[in-house]
Amino acid sequence: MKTMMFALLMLVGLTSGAQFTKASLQASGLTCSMCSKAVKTALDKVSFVKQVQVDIKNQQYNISFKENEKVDIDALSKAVEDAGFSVASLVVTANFSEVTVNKDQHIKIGDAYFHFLNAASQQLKGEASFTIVDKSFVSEKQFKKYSALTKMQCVQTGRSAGCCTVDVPEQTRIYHAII
Amino acid sequence: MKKSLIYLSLVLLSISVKAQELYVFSEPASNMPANTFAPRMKAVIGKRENTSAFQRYNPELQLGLSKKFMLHGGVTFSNMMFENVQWEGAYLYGKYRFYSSDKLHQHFRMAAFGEIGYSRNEMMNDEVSARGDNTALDIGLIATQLKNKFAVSATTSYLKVLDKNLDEMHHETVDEAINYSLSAGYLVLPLEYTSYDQLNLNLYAEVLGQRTFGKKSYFIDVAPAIQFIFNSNSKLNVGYRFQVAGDALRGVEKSFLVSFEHTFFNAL
Repeated sequence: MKTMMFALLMLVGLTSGAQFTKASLQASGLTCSMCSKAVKTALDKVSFVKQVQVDIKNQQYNISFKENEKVDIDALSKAVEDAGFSVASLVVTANFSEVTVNKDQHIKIGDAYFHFLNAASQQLKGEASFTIVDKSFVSEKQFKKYSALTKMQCVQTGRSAGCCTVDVPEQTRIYHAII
Repeated sequence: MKKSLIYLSLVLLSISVKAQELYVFSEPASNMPANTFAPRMKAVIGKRENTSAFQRYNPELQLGLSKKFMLHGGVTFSNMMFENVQWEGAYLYGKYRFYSSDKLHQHFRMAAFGEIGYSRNEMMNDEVSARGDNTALDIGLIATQLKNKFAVSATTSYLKVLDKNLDEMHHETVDEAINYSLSAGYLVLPLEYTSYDQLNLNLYAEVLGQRTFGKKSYFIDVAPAIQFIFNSNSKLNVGYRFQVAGDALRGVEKSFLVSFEHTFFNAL
């Protein structure tokens, strides 16, 4: 019972009151403006996306989110993949009240769990950005590099496994990030 | 001649231009986006001996059903067998992208496709197709590589003619064939992308061939084309296709193609 209470307190303690405000996405696998328009239109259709500004030359999409709406980061990569392409990089920005992040710790930001692969007791206050490095958000080569930063299994699937069910319920989506 | 062609190819390869794979005479391994549809109107006009010009009109609807699967369905009207242009057939084409590897400004993709076509035309030529000419089944593979801003695509397919009157009509008819194509394209304009409203100008060069079984007839065509893209959603294609080698009996050996297509992104 005590352990449960402790775990519960830990969970509450690690839940950060934060709101995602924007993201910067780079798409790969395309060069032409018609392909880029397919990506932009797909991102425009995502329910929590407010606006998408595009740099076609560099395949860069600056996305702002609607206020007080639940942000589902996987929906962004799904939109790009449905348009026929891939995410090369995704940097998300959130407003934090105050939270300290540590390497290999699972922390709830907004509605989702995050696992920072390189943080060292970093305090996040105000606006902070970090890069998502799960499989569908980086190239294969980069994924290999980033996933080597932790020994925990969850990095391979993006879901909580034996390594981390103390923090989070099993099979919960965990985004892996570097900051 | 050969030397200068090779030299030209090397120059084209080294020019740092953005390659395009929205080919005019063939399909790339890439699919159209999911939940997207695009109506297309195509016209082919060719010169024939001792008779009026060959005309074929081909309205088509393209559907992106998922990121991996797309469908084309269309009908063709022509004067191949008639004095006037008449409805001659219909077809359904499906393409499944089964391999995709994306990197920044490059990708390699592979897809499998199948097409079934119905045609009212009587079997007359060695050239066979599932699009207007014959009732036939066509299945094949496509591989498209985009690297260092240069794209090339190869297609190969097996075509089985299903025309009922195959044996009754002729003694020596074609009932199976292998199709192949090699396509390349590059973007001439704009020099630098700043907006979706810029006019895109693409140039293409394709080689399209067919070899039939049994009769062993063949043809090899070269097909250059120019493509204008407006507002990043409408394509106007103008191409010319001509035979460079072959002994196959064909309806037409030289033809012009004009097609227009508008894409409705995320409209389904």
